Amino acid sequence: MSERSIVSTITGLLYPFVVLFGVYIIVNGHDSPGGGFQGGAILAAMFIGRYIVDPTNDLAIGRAVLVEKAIFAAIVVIPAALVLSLAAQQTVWLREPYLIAMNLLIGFKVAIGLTILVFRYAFYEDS
Amino acid sequence: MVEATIFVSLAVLAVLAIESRVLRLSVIYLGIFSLLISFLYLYYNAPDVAIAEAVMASGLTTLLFLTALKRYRVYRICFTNEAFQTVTDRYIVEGTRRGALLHEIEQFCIARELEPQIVCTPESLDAVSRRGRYDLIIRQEGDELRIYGDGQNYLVDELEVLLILHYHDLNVRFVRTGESSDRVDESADGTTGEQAS
Repeated sequence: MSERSIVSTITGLLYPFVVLFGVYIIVNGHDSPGGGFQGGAILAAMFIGRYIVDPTNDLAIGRAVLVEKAIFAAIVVIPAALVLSLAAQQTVWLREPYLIAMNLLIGFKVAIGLTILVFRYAFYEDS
Repeated sequence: MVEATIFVSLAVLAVLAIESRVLRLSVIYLGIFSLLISFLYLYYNAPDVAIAEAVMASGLTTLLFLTALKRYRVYRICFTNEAFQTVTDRYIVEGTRRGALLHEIEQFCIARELEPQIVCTPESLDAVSRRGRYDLIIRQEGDELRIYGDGQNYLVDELEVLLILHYHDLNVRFVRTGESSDRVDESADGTTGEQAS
């Protein structure tokens, strides 16, 4: 039993709920308060909270940066494609899936970006 | 009414966060401040902003500050008194002479940009030093105060001069411990790192 066991147990119990809440805010963002940015920040808070409990550097930052760049490219390309195709603009049923997909992309991009930011600060910046 | 209460407590928390001497407390006050302000946004029918404020300011910024504090130079002080079953706040109340001594040590640390962290415990000296995480151990034995510090640390010398000048009536005695090899340094904190270099 380490001295941090209270904090780590509570954080471990909270993980699934925090993830669920973050994903709910992302997915429901288009017609209720919330959205990609807020949900992504909640997901990032979970990753960073894990660092406070157990400060080991096991995040593959290089790969995370790559994923973030890919998501950013998707965020640029998908709306551009939608604007260019007239047929897609006139299909009504496409609007909701489009909003949800964009919110999901933005949410994951924000979560990964904030996590990278704090992990880089915690492990690689010299004071 | 709700509004006025929140506004007053926001002002109080802001002043507390600035005036607090211990950085960890300031971080906590700022977290409560952000939580209250996000409630205020909710009260003004702006739930979107409220969520963003609660997550960013109360969650992420607090975590970021705590991460930064981990890298800050922490000076750990332990105050033990074996004679009592429990150590109450009576020993660190500012009115007493011993409280003034602890206060003086705190000020000494703050002046050197160290973050003081004082722990009071009724454990024995052996138990405390075996844990080996403290830069300074103050032990009260009856009427006598003994201060155990690392002999290599020049801060202890400065502190000794200061305390003997101002607190000679308290029976303060300094004991130097040698290079303690069983020290556990979990994080890269400044005071022990400085001696090595």
